[in-house]
Amino acid sequence: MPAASSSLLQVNAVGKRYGDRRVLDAVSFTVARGERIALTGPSGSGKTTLLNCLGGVDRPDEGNIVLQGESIGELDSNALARLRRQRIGTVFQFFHLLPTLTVRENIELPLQLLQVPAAERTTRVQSFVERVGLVARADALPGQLSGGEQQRVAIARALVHRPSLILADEPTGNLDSANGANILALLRELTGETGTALVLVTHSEEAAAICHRRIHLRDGRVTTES
Amino acid sequence: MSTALVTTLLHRVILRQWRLAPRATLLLTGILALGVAVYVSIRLANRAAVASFTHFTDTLTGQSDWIIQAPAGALAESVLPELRRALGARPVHVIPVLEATAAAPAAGGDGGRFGRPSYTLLGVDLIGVSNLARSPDGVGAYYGQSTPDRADSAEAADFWAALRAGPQVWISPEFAPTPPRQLSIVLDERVVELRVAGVIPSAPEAPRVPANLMVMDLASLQRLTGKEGWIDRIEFIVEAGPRQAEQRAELAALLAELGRDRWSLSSPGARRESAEVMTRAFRLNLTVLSLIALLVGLYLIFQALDGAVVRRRGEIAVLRSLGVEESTIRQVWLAEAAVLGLVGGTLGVALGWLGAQVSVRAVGQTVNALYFGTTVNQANLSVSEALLGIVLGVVTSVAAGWWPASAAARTPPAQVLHRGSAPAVGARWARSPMIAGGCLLLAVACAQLPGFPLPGGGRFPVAGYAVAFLAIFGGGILCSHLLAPVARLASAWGRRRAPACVALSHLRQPSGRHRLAAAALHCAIGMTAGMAILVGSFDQTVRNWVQRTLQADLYIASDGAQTANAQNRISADAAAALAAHPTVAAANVLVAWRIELDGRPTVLSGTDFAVLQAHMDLPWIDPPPAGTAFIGKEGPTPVVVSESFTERFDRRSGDSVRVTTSTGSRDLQIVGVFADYGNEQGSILLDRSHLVDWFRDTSVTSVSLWLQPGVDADTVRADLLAQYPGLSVLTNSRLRAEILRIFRQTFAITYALEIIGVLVAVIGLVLTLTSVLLDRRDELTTLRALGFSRHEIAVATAIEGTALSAAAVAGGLALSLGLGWLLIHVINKQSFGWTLGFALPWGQLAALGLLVTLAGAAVSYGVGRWGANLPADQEA
Amino acid sequence: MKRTLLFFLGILLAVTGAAPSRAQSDLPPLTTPEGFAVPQPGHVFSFPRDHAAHPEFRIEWWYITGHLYAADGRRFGLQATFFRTAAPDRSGDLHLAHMALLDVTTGHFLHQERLNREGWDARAAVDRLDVANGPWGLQMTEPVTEQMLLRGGIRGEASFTLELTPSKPLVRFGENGYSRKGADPTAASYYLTFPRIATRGDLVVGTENLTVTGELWMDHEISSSQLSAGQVGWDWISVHFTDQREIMLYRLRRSDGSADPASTLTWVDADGRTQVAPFTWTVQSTWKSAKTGAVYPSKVKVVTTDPATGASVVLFIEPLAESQELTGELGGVPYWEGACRVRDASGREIGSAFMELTGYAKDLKI
Repeated sequence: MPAASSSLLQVNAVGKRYGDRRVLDAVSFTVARGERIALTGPSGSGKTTLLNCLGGVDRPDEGNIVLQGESIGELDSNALARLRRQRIGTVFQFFHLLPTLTVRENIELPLQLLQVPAAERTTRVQSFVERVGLVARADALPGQLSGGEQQRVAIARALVHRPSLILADEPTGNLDSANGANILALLRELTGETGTALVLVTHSEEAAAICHRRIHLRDGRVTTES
Repeated sequence: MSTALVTTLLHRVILRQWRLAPRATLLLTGILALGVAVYVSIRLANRAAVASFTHFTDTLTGQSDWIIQAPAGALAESVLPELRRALGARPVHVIPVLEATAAAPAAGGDGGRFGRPSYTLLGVDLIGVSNLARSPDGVGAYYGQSTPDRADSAEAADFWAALRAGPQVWISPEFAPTPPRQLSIVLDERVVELRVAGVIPSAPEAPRVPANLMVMDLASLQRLTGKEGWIDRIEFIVEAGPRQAEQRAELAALLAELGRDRWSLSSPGARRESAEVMTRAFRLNLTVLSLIALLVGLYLIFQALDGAVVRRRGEIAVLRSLGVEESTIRQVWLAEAAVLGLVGGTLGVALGWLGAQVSVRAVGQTVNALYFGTTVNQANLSVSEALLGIVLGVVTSVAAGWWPASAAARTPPAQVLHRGSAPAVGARWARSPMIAGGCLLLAVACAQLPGFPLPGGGRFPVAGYAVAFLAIFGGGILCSHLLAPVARLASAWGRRRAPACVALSHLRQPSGRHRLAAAALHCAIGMTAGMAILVGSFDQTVRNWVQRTLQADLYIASDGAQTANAQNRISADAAAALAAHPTVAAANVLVAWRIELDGRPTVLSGTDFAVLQAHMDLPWIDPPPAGTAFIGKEGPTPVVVSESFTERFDRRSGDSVRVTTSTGSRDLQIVGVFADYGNEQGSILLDRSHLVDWFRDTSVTSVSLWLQPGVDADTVRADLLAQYPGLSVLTNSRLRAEILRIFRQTFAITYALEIIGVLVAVIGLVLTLTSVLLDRRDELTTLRALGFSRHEIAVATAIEGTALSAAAVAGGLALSLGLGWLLIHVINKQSFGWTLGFALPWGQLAALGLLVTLAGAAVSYGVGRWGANLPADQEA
Repeated sequence: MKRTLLFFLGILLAVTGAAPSRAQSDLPPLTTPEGFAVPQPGHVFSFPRDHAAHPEFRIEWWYITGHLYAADGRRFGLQATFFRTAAPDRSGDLHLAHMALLDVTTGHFLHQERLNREGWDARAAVDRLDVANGPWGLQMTEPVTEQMLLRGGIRGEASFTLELTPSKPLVRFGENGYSRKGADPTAASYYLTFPRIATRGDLVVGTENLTVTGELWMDHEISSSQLSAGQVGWDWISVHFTDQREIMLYRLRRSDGSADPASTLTWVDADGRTQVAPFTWTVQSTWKSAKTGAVYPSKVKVVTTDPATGASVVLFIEPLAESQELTGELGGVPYWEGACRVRDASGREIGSAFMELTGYAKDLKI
């Protein structure tokens, strides 16, 4: 077991039910700083639910989750929002960009939430725009971008505020294989560069391949770790 | 700290959205602007109509300190030397005034229609008035004006000639761009030619000279009106000095003491106030109606903002997932509402000012007809009114946006947002039949409460309006409960058709939106139908009343009497001559004196009871005992009073009344009560012989003629008009038509508001269905995937909408019966004191119900069609 | 452009409407062309009726001027005038009244005009002296002693009620009251004066109530036309000497500034007998009115002969305040009427006076 000080995230015996259906059952694992974890499993295995719990969006009925020493379960709604703002970045399957904001502005949004001063915001945003290769499209609206381009923006947005943890739910689910590969590569490079941990929920082998470890869920239980 | 964030989000997310969807934004702003505009315009019109009541003498004198006038009739001039003696050496200007009203002669042929411009003739001693500090040109102000027909010369002879010239008049500078040389006016029953001697000089710091004011020398006007030796009032101005305030008070005490039973003391401010007070009930009612317009706007904006939240739920969810707090989301959405309110409010104020120019005429005409002459034709916007309008806009918008902002804030982060989830059912209290029942019970209880007494008589039906509100609210809740039963009822029919199945399934579990739409529509229908019942009842009652009271063939009055407070009369000789016309079988006269009783205005009228009882039947509410003698009785004089009188002065049959006339106090006893819709201030009716005795005046206000059988009324009319061009002669049918026209005019505004109300409710229905469909986009995609055609989807929505409308119509019509009863028996009775019979305008109500249901079906089909074309759900 | 009415000026100065000069007989005509009575020489007066109004004449006035003294030594100048003028067709009189008060200590000059038609608010009785205009009035309360009561004031700023008791008998200036004013036979008036009246009463100035005593002069003139051709106005002075004698100076002024031959200076001795004396008039200083632009004589030197001694007497008439002009908005005629002191050649104060200067305003509007 890695030393407690180096583990970023600890999931301890988390359980959740919806009605009488048990979606998660005594799930436990840890994630170290900068580690990439793939959560795999068939549909209905509770991957998404678990991801939501990690992000503070859903609450487990049993067990607890500790992120950087703080127990998430004890935080109230506003504190959870702050948690999401400061320490977590999310990448969705359906991109979820704000349609009225340009690429640059979408990426800038988390920094504005954190009240980062304007000059620093501009520098950071610019560097990420370049890093994801969208300089030419920096002022376009999401509606004008392709799926791959949108996801790149989403990734930049998820990383710009230097979170400790990225949660990605099927990030390539809506992309063709070429784009998907690019996105995965980008994810691996960026999280490697910035030392950000990644929990990636996925069906695809390619996606799981960029991760250090895999956690396989079936019927809400961890079956394998590799 | 979060202000910066809120502003950023507001700017980047909300305002950009506005720019991307300008039409929706414009519509929203427009709705709010309309609501504010209606309120502002009514408010401005109300204010203008009353502000235009100027105490006329003030334009000549600046402002008098005190006014004395006889409580009834005129003051004798012999009082003046007595006053001067009593005043001794006090530095007081004493200004006797005689006032008369006249009208411009009817242009061409047909007279008889009310509403022509009327003039006030003020007779003052033009020499005496030059002593006032405010006359810079002294006597030259009047008699020194050079007119085209007088040589421009400084010779003394000119002044004396001016002083001695025949009846001449000075007109307002606003009468016409260039003053005419001669003027014709109708004074009592004559048409009089007057020479125009010049223009009324405007005294500095005095009020603007109203366009309808004319000034004559006192003696001249007395001669012209046959009132030599009489004046209407005396005004007093204390001259400037270090003890002026003290002297004013002293003067008031002296005048009150001297005039104990002979005159009443007042001030120009008090007169203005009484004019305001007279119309307060009327204006309040108008204001309440206009507030309803704003309420309606609130409802629509709520719908629109709510729909917007639904549409943008995806974005909100993303923001939430990024870590934006709930409270921030709420603030942003409220800020949006506030900005909308600001823009809409400002626009509304501008529109309201424009609208006021139109409505001011309508209000003015009503005030003219019901209360007193006013020549308002423009309404001015003050800064405070403008600010009020804008604030109102903001408040309404924020109020409307409150719930949608909260709903937005409660949007879960994107990860857990499921579009297919059932839409919010709405707050529990808004569904509770218990609360609804409670409201209705409370409403019934409130209906028993009396009105809130207003100063100056009249009552404001506060409880009545509260009842209306409670009934609407409770009714709305109950109505929304009708949806499910309606759905179940229809499901038998619906089972065979797929679109019906789909539609009715939604109605079995109506969402909060459905309920709200039904409630709003029900409210609008209820109010509209309720008003229709009121108006229908009024119409019916007035027709009956007119039928009973207007029995004579010809009605004659001075053509100069164009407004409610006109004082024009017909001389006794003329009246006698009219009665003596060879075609006349019987004649009756009516004379009306405006008097003050208990500090409030009312009318003391006299007629020949013998003729009255022989030829017509007064519509009795409480008839006098059979065989009551109206003349020749010892003791208090028997009188009958109108119903408004009993309400206003709180007296009924058997009570006594004491009135002050120019020859002293008189005791009256009420022996009966009759219905009279012509006058809200109440009237006392007695035999004319008493009034001739008490006021020493034989002139009459109107003459009614019954013609010999077989005589053509129109011929006689033409004959009389030829003889007396200054008279207004109306045939029976014409008078009826005029009366009914005036009554309809007073309801003109309410008709407009009703129509707007229904229109708005139908628009609300459209917006509701739109939001609902947007919420159900998944289902629509599924339906299309299942193979429903666009038409079938539209039909489904149409069924949903029609069921909503039908439920609303049923509830609304039920509500309208209650509201109608309330309006007739409570609100109207307490405001004006009239008893109306309850008459249901079946045709109108049926038409309304049918129209609304069909409209609901049509617009729902349209929305359904639009919904069917929505693209498949893409992530925003 | 409205024109200020100059009706009074017109009446007083208009000649074009006046009677043409007649040379036939020395007796004046009985009436003017409009039908107003003309003063006749040798007319016999009967009192108290002739103190009252004479409606058959066109113009009439009762003119009171004088000096008042309060208990604390404060001095006031007073003017109270009641004019009556008849309409050309005799259809009714107009009454004009002037009130003026000078507070000598402060130099504050208050004045007010009042114009009313004959009627309930203004009258001049024909059977006894009873004239009133608004709250102002003059009545003879006791015909035997000829005691009178004067009520007047200026707006709310001052008011007075004074008991007037003539201390000398009535004087009839001119020929037994028939006073010629010019060459024109109709230019004459009946001129009756109480040259010295003891007065006592209440004076309210501002918020102060004072008891005052003093001496007044009252003129009563009756005429139908005052001025002849070539006359533009007059200068009039009444003097109360400390030795109980009086002077009345009536200088009719021609357009060149010189005195018309009809001008007179009359001495009244202690018993009330009159004596006409020659005089010269020299203006020593002037005062310009800011309001009307008129330039009035201010300090005036009058040299005349004392009938008692036959010696020449020099009198310096000095206004107690320069600004005592009545601007005449209602009457149309501005004139200067003010309280003055009288000094002899050595500068000793020998009496008090009132001076009236008319016809100096060139233009009545600024």
